[in-house]
Amino acid sequence: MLDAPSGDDLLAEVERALKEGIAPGFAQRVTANAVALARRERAMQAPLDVAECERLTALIGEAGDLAVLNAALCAAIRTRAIDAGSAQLMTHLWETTRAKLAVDQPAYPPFRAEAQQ
Amino acid sequence: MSIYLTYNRPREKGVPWEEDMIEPEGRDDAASLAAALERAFARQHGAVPRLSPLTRLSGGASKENWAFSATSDGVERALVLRAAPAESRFESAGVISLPAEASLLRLARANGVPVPEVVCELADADRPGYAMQHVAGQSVGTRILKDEGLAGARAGMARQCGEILARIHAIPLDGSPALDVLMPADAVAALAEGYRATGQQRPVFELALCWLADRLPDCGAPALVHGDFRNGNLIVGPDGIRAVLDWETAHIGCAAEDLGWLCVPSWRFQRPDLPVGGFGTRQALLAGYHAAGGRPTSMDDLRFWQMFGSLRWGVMCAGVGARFAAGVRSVEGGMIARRASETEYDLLALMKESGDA
Repeated sequence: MLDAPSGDDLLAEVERALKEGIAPGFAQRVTANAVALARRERAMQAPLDVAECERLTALIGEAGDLAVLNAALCAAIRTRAIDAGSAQLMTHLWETTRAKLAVDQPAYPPFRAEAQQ
Repeated sequence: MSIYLTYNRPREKGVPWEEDMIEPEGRDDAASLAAALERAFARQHGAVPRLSPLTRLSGGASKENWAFSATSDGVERALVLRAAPAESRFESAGVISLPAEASLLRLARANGVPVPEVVCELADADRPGYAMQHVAGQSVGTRILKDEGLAGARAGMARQCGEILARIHAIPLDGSPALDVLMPADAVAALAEGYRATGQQRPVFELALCWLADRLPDCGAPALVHGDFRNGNLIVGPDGIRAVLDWETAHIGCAAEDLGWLCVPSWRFQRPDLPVGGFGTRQALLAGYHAAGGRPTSMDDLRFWQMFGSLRWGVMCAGVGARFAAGVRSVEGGMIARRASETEYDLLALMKESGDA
């Protein structure tokens, strides 16, 4: 599940920042990065959410939306109801996390290094 | 609020966070800070040097840094004033006070740790601060890794970090100001509490908390822990590390915590292949640490505290996200919140590495 704030919430802050005036340099680069993140999110989110939801349903054996299923998975890990070494669990977490990084920060060096291998 | 959860914007954090230039705001403050400095010099040195105008530097959100110079007897010294801000952009509770920081710098210097010399302390209880020597060199992490003039320094820096950390961890605690005590179980509990306070549901954080709880290390006698010893808080010249900065999350804890934090991938910048700050190997770090009398520390200890460090940074990012949701909004804050996923990636990678080992 992609993190908050959503791309839309980021764009609302970008809009406000633009009205106030953005100094060249750091603030400008951060603002441009926020727009790029929002664009990636818009292009990528829907199929990622569907795939995550299917994996979670298979993992937990319950139906629900992403928030409910993730809360259930958190509880299962916390109470050790699910085996932390389970291959199915780890595969799910890796796929979900790679999907998040592809939206949030595709240039994150360890992630990019893995993608290039 | 735990020191672990204080979000203090680092000077830079690589792409997309790079060093910003001098911030224009706060100019009105310069005159009152200069007057406070003159009073401090008069009281502590008997004579007041001629002070240049103060220039606000970029840097921590919880403390202001001002550059100025002081001239007496024809000798000009470049100095930096660290002072509490009039208002804080991000929540900064939980860090040590400026008087305690000054006292720690003096203690560290007396014990052979390279830190800026503290020149005088402001007496104003409402606006505490201290002036220290300006140490020339590069502190921006990405530039430390790229600058060709620093190639020689980089080659020896992992070992040098080990030597400096050994000296920090040997500092006698009886001379230290009062600091939080966070041994491994307390430290992990503080992170768990910080994560729960965000209200977020993060399976990877849950798994990392279980992983840490199952592997609490036995770390011997409590040590003075710097708390934020990493690439980005070091001033480096061609000769190597000249000063260790940013002592505001210092605490009493497990010595190996500092070594693991230095290895967190988020501050390796464009060199994820070099675990120690993007410039060196764990073997070189431990060799320097042990040669200089550091505590017995294993690769497993390093891995535990690197895992702890990535989770700590992740909980900080998540905390910024929770504050965004509560209405403390900015583009920068929102983008920091979306960096929590980088720590999830690093946590999974370290668990995998640990399982393979």
